[in-house]
Order: sequence, then C-alpha cells, then structure tokens
Amino acid sequence: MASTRSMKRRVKSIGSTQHITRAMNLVAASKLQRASQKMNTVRPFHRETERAVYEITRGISELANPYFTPRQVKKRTFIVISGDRGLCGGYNVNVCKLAYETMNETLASVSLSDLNSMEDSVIAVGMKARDYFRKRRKSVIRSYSGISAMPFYEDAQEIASFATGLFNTRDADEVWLVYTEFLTTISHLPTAIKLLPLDPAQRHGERVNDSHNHTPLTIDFEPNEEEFLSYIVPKYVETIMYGALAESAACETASRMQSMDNATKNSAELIRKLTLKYNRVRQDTITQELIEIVSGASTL
Amino acid sequence: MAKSLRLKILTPLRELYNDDVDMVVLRGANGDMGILPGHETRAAKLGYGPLRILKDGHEENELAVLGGFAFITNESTTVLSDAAEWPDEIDRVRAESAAERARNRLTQKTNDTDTQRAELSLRRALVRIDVSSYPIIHGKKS
Repeated sequence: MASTRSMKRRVKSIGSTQHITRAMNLVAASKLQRASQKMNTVRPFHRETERAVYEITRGISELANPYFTPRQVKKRTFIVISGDRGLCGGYNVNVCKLAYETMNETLASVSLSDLNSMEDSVIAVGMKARDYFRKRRKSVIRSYSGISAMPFYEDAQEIASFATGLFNTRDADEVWLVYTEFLTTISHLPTAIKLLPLDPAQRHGERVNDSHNHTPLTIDFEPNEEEFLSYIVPKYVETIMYGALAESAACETASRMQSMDNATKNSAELIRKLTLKYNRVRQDTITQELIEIVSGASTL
Repeated sequence: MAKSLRLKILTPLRELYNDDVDMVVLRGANGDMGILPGHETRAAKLGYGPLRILKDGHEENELAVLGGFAFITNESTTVLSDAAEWPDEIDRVRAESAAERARNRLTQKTNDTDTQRAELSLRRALVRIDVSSYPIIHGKKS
C-alpha cells in the first residue's frame, strides 16, 4: 500500500514541527521571566504616579488647563500596542479588535453630520497592529517595530511626546491607548483608556484606591499650578505609556508560551493517533500477504 | 496630626526607599524645602539636587534626585523621579568627566551648541559629584 509511506512521512513532519514549537515554548518561557520582572519593577512607579495625578486633579478647582479641557471631538488618535510577530494565540487579534471596536462604538453615538468629519488615526506599536489597521483602511500615522518585545523608557518617551504633540497642535482632540493588561500568566485583559484630555471624573477608579472621600483637596503647587500641570501631564502620559508597553510585552510572551505549549501537546496527540493507524495498516498488509502465501501453497 | 511621615522614592526602574522618616529635605523648583509630618498637601516639581533623609533623630542618608516631582500629604511624601541614585552607585569619575565636557561645551560656544542641554548635564554631574562624596550610612550614625 502506498499510504504507509506517506503516513510515515507525515508522522516525521509533525515530529519536526513539534521540535520547533517546543523550542519556541522554552524560549518564550525564559523571555517571560525577563518581561515580567521588568513589568514588576515598573508597576509601583506606574501606580504611584497614577494615584498622585488622580489626587492632584481632584485638587484643581478650575480646569482651565488645556490638558483637562474636553474639546469638540473631530480627530482622534489611538495608540495600539501589539506584537511584531504572530504565533502567540489570540494576543494580537484581541487587542486590535478591542481598539477597532472602541473606535466604532464611540462612532455610533455621534450624529451623522459629525460622523463625516470624524477622523481617526492610529499610532501602531508592533507590526501586527500596523497591518491590521492598514487592512481596514485606517490611517496609520506612525508605526514602531522592534520595541514591543523589549520596551525601554526612551521608547515610551518618544511615543508619548509624539502623541502629546498631536494633542497640543490640535491634530488630535482625544488620545486613546489600547494595550493588554497582564493579570496572570494565563489571563490577559485588553484595555482601552483615554489618555488625553485628562478627565478626573472618569479615572479608572478600580485601580486607584478610592476609599478617600471626594472633598476637593487644597493643594499648594510649586512653582505654580499652571507650570506644574504642564510638566506633570506629559510625564504622566509617558509613565502610563511605559507601563502599558511593559505589560503588553509580558502578555505577548506569556501568550506565545501558552499557545506553543498547546501546539506541542496537540502534535504529540496527532503523532500518537497516526502511529497507531500506521501500525494497523502495516499489520493488515502483513496478514494479507501471509494469507496469500498460505493459500497459494495449499493449492499446490 | 500625623506623627510619622512615610517616604517613598520611586523611579521607573526601581523603588529606592519606602520607610517612615522624621524629616525629608528635597530640592524643589523654587529651592530646598524640608518636609515634616503634618505638612500641607503640596505638589512640587523637583529640580536636580540632593535629597536628605532624617530618621530617628539622625541624618540618615542622602541621595541624588534628578528631576521628577513630589506629592506631599500630611502623612506621606512620594517622590517620583526620572532618576535617583544612592551615593555608592554614582560613578564619580564618570560624573567628573561629564562635568568637564559640559563646561567645555559652555566655554567654547559655537552657534550650534545646545546651551540648555549642556547646562542641564553640568548640573546633573555636579549633583552627582556632590552626593557621591557623602558618607554612606545605612541605619544609625555611629
């Protein structure tokens, strides 16, 4: 039978695929260690900054600062953080999909006349996000590749200053950030937050410890309120950006590790089944041949 | 009135300090300020300068804080800095050569010299040199 040979070949091919997925799993596991270590070192800074900015914004009575003033939204910019490479389960798709849905969701709530004047643009971190939004005909105004796996603070600074610049020159009335939050190794949460303008009322309160009452604080600013705020807000965007990059990097490697682990398991199962089938076919052939020989001999 | 002051010093790369202290002296944009427990709520942009920690009645430690901001409430002070270093972590030779370079850039000015950048790096280097000469005392002073 010709099929025995092709079956044998198939088992061998799956075996070499398994070698690759296993190797990728091990690589991802060691990278995850580094990525999550990085994430854990940023987290306290990230949280403290968030908390301080939250407290400070509560203390501002007159939100005359441009960073806090909502404008009529005509142009929005979405910063989407994905990975450069695939083979990591649903990681890239999930975060891109959330970004895409967030765009459309808010679009549904505006009136038709405003809809035509709405312009959305995307800053893509990672090649997957870039390709995803290009395919959907969104304007990708800037894309970064090669930083999503191992982000540095300088990368976050560059992206943040670019986005803040867009906001300041009124090329963006709102800046959103879509990234993946790392909950545990096996559970990741795609998250979308509005970075600018800062909205003290709509702070993601579940992260900030909200046990304090809401009486406005009287805060003394040094050197003065305006200067302090125009310093702190870009800083805040930078910090959030860096935290998001670090979280996303950890998520990417974690979900790659997991999906490669699954692939290795699946191929083991496939090999087991195919080998069983192969042996059966082989045995059938031998039995068949024996019968032929015996019956041939008995006729003599 | 709160009796203790919780001091936290964080940079994006690590947490440098998280303990109760008696007093902290830090360099704000308008000059040095000493923070005692029960301070009014204040948000301050920080300059480049040494930060001194007083604990258990002794001057316990000093470190270099290079920019960032501090959020002060009556019971806690949180310093969120771009970069902060303990004295023993500072490479003094490197800081001195950086100061030298910056001084040269400032004295031999050409049109394309970025004066502001040179001044900032000179100030950073000077703070580093200043702090690196501080004796490292972890815990109580003898």
